[in-house]
Amino acid sequence: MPESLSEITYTAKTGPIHSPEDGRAVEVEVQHLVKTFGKQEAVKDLSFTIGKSEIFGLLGPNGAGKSTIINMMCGYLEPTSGDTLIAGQSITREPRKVKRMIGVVPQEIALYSDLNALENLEFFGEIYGLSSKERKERAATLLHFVGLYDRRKEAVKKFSGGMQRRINMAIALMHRPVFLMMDEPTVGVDPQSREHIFAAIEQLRDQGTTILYTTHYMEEAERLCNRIAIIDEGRIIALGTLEQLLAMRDQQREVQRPHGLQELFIQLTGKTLRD
Amino acid sequence: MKTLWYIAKKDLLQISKDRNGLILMLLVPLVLISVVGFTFGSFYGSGSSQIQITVALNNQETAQNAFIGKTIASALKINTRQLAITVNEYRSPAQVIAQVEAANNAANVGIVIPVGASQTLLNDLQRNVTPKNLVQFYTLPNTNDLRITVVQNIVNTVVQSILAGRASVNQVYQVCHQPGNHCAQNTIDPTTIATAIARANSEANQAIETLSAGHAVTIDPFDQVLPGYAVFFSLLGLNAVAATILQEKEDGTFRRLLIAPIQKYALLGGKMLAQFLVTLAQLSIIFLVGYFVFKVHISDWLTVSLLLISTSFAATGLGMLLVSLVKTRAQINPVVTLVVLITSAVGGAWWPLFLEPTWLQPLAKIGITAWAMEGLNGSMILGKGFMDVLPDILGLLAYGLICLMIALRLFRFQQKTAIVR
Repeated sequence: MPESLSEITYTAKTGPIHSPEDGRAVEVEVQHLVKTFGKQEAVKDLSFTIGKSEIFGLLGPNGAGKSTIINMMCGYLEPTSGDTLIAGQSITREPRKVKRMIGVVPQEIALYSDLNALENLEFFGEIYGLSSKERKERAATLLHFVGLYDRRKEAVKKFSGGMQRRINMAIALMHRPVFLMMDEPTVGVDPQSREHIFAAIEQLRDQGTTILYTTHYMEEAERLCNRIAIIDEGRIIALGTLEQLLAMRDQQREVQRPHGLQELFIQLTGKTLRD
Repeated sequence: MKTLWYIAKKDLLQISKDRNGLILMLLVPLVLISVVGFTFGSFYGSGSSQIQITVALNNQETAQNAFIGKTIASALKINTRQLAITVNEYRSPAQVIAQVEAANNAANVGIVIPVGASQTLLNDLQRNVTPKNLVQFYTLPNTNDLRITVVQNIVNTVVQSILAGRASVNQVYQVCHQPGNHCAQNTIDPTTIATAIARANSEANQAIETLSAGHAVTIDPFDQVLPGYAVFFSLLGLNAVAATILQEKEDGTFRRLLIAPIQKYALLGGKMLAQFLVTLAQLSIIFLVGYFVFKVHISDWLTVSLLLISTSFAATGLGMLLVSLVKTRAQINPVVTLVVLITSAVGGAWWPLFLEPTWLQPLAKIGITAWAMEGLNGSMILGKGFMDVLPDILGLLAYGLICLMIALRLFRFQQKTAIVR
């Protein structure tokens, strides 16, 4: 167990893989991911693992590299170097096989607004190779799951933001992914919808889905995540369970113990405004 | 292949949700075709080749023996299958001039026969002087109207006949007065001689046998207008091709599709298939309406169908090329407008391609319109068969294929810069 915050930070910079410590099997392994855009190094030698059925939180200020990491892990962006393994399969070497195991809930609401909820779900079910019967059953199940079955025939452009976010999530679940990446899924969502989404995530975890969850809201990370990684400037600067993170203190500098994750976050990433 | 179809099906479903859009896609071209076809039908000719001319005439000769005015007026009253001349008589030269100047083409030509023209002619003949400026001819300045030439020729023929007749009479008198000849003066009838000359002139055309060769090109206005505007509107659909992809990129659904386990080319192929089917449906419906409502000439449905299919393919390929070059929807509108207007103008969408200067016709092939219109004009107006039009069909297919290959090379599936979040 790391003794201090500075110890964890130092360890994170040299890039060993941080593994779950509760004995669960590793489902996702990120190996030395690097991404450069021209001269800009957006992600710097990032490594970590996520255990099966774990909810892994990824926190970081704007521009930290969270979306770039997710885009590389799901195969949308090709990494400059490094790899991501999902259940032992490489996304760079076997992209189509691995993509069948991944679901992504994007931060933006990515729906076909002219189609209704059912049509959106069925289309993505087709794309992921579900049979007609499977599509219908799965779509009905998910619509119940997100509480929108009664409005399945309405065009999604008529839905509220919270409802659209729920359909956004349901689409990512159509093909029963073993690994789900959720990129700030509750942005702009009313409290009821947010609560509904949290309940759905916990249910997914209980059903065995491994989840990577990014957010700016510390209380979400505190509530949902088994482990949390705080990243900044493309590298992990802190990683551990909530208790571990809060227990850190820099004995040499005698930094005051943060009262909460938010305070820790600010301590680690600074108060400078980010774009 | 299945994925390609699923994506196409989804796009078609989205299009079908916009009922008003679908209706306008058919209604707007058909309305425009109707308006242009009926308004500008005479530009292409109504199938009749009769030349129609209006002459304003002022005959100032009132003497009983004045013959020039009456002879000219009589000669101009022609009404045959090829030529119809209407002669309107006026009391003064000013009225004749006013008719010629009128903006509504009240008269194509004005003729004034001054007082004493006939007597002047007789006097000139007796004195062996060449008659000049007997008849005044009024036309608009700097005009190349062939109808003026027709009237001039008729008037010239009349005057020549009169001159020939009088000259013949003079010759008879001169022969009679030669030493050793004796003629009974009262047996020489100038009128008879002149009449015989005139009859000979008028019967001269019977020596010419009129025969026909080949096949006359008659252009029904809708045979040109319908395919021209149908192709024009199918090209305007390039906007839709580009918009659908750019919209998906903006909405985030494009990224969602790239995260899914599908091939990138299936993604573009599916979109292209949907747009191809929509364009083909639009063209087909317009042509069916044209055939049953506007009675356009379609003798070879197979040829026309293949032309429509290849035109749809080429248009869709061009749309994919444009979207690979242009990054935003704000950029696509002016680009598409420019491309469509230029290629339609030079490509024969608005007038038959074969009426354009010969040097321009090959240059027009840079656009889809020229290929399509050459084939459609060939089939519908010139009566060409499938083999004659096959080069245009193959040209369109090759055009679409080349555009598609370039588009696949240039199309950017992912952004190059980092998303700052």
